[in-house]
Amino acid sequence: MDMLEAEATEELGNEKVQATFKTQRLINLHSNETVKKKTLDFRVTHRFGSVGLYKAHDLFGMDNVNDIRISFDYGITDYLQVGIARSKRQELIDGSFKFRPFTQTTNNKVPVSIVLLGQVGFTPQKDPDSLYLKTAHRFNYTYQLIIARKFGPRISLEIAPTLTHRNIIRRYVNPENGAEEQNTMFALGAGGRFKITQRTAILIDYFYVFSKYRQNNTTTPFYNPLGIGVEIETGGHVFHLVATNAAGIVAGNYLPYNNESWRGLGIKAGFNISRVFNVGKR
Amino acid sequence: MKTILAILSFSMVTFSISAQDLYAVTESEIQFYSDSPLEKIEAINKKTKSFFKISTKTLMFVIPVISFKFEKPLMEEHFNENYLETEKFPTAKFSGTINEELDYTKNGTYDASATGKLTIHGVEQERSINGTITVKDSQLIFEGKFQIKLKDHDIDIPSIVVKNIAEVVDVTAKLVYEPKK
Repeated sequence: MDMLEAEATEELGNEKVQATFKTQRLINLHSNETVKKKTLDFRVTHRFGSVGLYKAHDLFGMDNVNDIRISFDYGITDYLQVGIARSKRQELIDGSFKFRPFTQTTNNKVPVSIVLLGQVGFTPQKDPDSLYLKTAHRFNYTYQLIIARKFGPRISLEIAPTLTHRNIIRRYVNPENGAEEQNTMFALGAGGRFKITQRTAILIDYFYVFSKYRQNNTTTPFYNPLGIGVEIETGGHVFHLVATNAAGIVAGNYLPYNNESWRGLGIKAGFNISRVFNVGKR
Repeated sequence: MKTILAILSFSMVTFSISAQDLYAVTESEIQFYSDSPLEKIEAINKKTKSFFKISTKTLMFVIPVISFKFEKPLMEEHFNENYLETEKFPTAKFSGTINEELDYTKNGTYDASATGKLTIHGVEQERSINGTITVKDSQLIFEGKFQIKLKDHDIDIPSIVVKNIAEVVDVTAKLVYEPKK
């Protein structure tokens, strides 16, 4: 019977790995998770003001708001989701999809999960400087490839090559190296989740932006976004309490326009709240 | 010639007996049901592996915990991540013996019970499970119903969801066996 047990155990083990991350986003970075079929993920994301700007006078940023984003993401299948959202920054309205063609399996035949993310942003904001001469100028795009792996119950890591494109930019020049601002920018994101207890985890994510214009730019300094957070799961909700130097919440905002650093106390407190609803029978 | 025939027929008889001694599961359905004031939770698992050996009356099954399917995906995730800790304890097991002497060659439904060790969430418990065994030609159908106390298996329910999850979970199992080839 022992042999049979071994045989039975052998035959099991090819299931899709669950919960690489608890929710579809880390801090600034998207995770490999998609919203499951017929469920709706309602999220409120908030970034307060910079800690070091007014210091105690705005309670270290608590009286100010850098960005607020309210989003709805719906799972068409377990591997495809679509979403709409609205952010305070640029009054950006965005539509997105996330598609996961590969999911890591327990027997490691598929060692990583792979996700494609596409996001289109549209800004309806007023235009006193006449930047948006055509409607097309109001659009920006983000494409991301997310490669993630769960290394056991406690550790999950991912990397995310990212491309952002803005239909219109001001073609400023970096006086230090003569490099021009570009419409299309490439960035490499990386992030991880480290579980501390059954329901809490530490999150970290970082983007390296490949832009010569942004290197050592003395007139307009640029910094790579770094986020650190704590994740608390209560059963129905997932809360993130975060600290990041990124002012915007969507990649189209925080990758090109990130002018504050951790060292200069450009840190912002923030939170993400995610609540998943079931929509109809599966 | 006669002796050869005798040997041949004898060997065939023994062969057929040995072939029918060991049974393996072809279809399985293990369901559990948790009924609490706030929420009804149901899950079904169709991926159980099981063997039954008539001569020794031994019964063994291995259940891949991750293969329990829930109506709500979030429940399934919590079940695996927070309660059963599937990555640490990927399987639930039962290994025991059938207590009754039954005639597995005669069609019919018999009351039966199995005693043995039930391992869930890495915690072993001595259990007796009552049910029926149906003999239907070459098939054996085992059906049983029993309860699991989550505390017995060190499955912690945090106070915040204590009203959503029952302390005692009802389990029904139906397993169809055929002679193992």
